[in-house]
Amino acid sequence: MELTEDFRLTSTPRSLLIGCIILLTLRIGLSIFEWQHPINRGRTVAWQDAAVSQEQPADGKKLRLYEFYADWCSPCQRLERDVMSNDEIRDTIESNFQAIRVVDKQREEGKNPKWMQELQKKYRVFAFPTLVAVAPDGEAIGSLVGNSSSLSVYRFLSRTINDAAKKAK
Amino acid sequence: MWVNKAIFKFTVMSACLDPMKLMYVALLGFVVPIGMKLAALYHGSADSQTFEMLTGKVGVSFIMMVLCLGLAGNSTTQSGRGGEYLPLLFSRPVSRTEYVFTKWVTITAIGGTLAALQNILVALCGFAFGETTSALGLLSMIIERYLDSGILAAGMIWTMLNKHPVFQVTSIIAFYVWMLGQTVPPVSVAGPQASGVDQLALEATKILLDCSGYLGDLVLPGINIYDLLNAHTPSLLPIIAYFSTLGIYLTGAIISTNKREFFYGTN
Repeated sequence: MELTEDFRLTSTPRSLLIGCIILLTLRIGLSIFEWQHPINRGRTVAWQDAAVSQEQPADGKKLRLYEFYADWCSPCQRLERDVMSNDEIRDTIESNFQAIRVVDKQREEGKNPKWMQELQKKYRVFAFPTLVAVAPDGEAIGSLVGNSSSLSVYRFLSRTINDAAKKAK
Repeated sequence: MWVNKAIFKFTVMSACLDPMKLMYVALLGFVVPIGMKLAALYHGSADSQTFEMLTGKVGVSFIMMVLCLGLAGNSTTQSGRGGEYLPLLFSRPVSRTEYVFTKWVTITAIGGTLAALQNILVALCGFAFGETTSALGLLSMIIERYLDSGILAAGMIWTMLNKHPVFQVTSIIAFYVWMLGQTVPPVSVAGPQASGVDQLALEATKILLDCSGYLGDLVLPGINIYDLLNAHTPSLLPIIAYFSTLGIYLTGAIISTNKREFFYGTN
């Protein structure tokens, strides 16, 4: 009787063990499946090419959101994959900003065009990715450096929209 | 089913009655991040990497470290704090599963509530300065903090209850490698390609970050609820990874406690 009681108190629940084995098997299986068939993350933000937008007149009413980006920069790729494919972020950017991507070519071509150097200097860009929200008059409202979480990016965007509205009044 | 009400009550009481624990949690969990947020809002700057850390999983891990150390019961045979449930063990039989599971539920509930409260306060500070967080965003933050607390509590409880030194040292090293990766800002420095020692340092940092990332995915997987709810095609993998790791930690903690012999030395 004592042995049975002791066994009951120090035994590991079978349901927990079985659950663990099932979940672990599913994890391994799903990892292999998603590695072979990457999931469709949907559309990301429709960025305008900075070179093209330099030649066109700016949309007078809309705020501009510059994304300073580099093809070799892995945090930039993660930001694009994880944050810019988030429906709420993408909709907020597309409905409130003229989204412009500035792709740095210094490493590939040795030098950036002059307009890009001036843009980077004006908005104090020292790292990628950097998001800079700019008022229609060209003045920077705020900037966010690094691959932040979607919630941080959303908070940053909401604050810049609010600051721009206050400024316009 | 596996939750013992008496152990739950004693653990909550122990957490509430320890002034040192309360002060640590208040300072690191509330004073520092809220101060940082207010400073950023006053100066119109974006949230820093340190702020992101303190309001995310790293912040939760700081709170959990102190909670688990004081409440998990790694010092079962000692008197004083951490041993308050001993009369219970003496007076009636409690299964080891019940004990581990109750401790995990209690620590997760306390840590998750504190971290969620911190996130809500930070969101309210931002709100006062025109920074909004959608209802979905707020809900996601709260759920994420409870999930972070759950996995961290399970991992730490297992590390504390399993007395094997190799296991404990390996767990602590893994935890610090993961944390080290979190402290490096996720940016690439602009400018021409570095050379020599600078290039070597950059490559070493990249390797460290990759190791920390892979280790994090393996031992502390998280679920980004906000991204998951706003995804074109939600992936099930993070959810399965989270619950499989959680299950392993809890089962491991129960097996380790079952194998241990407890000697209740009394006067």
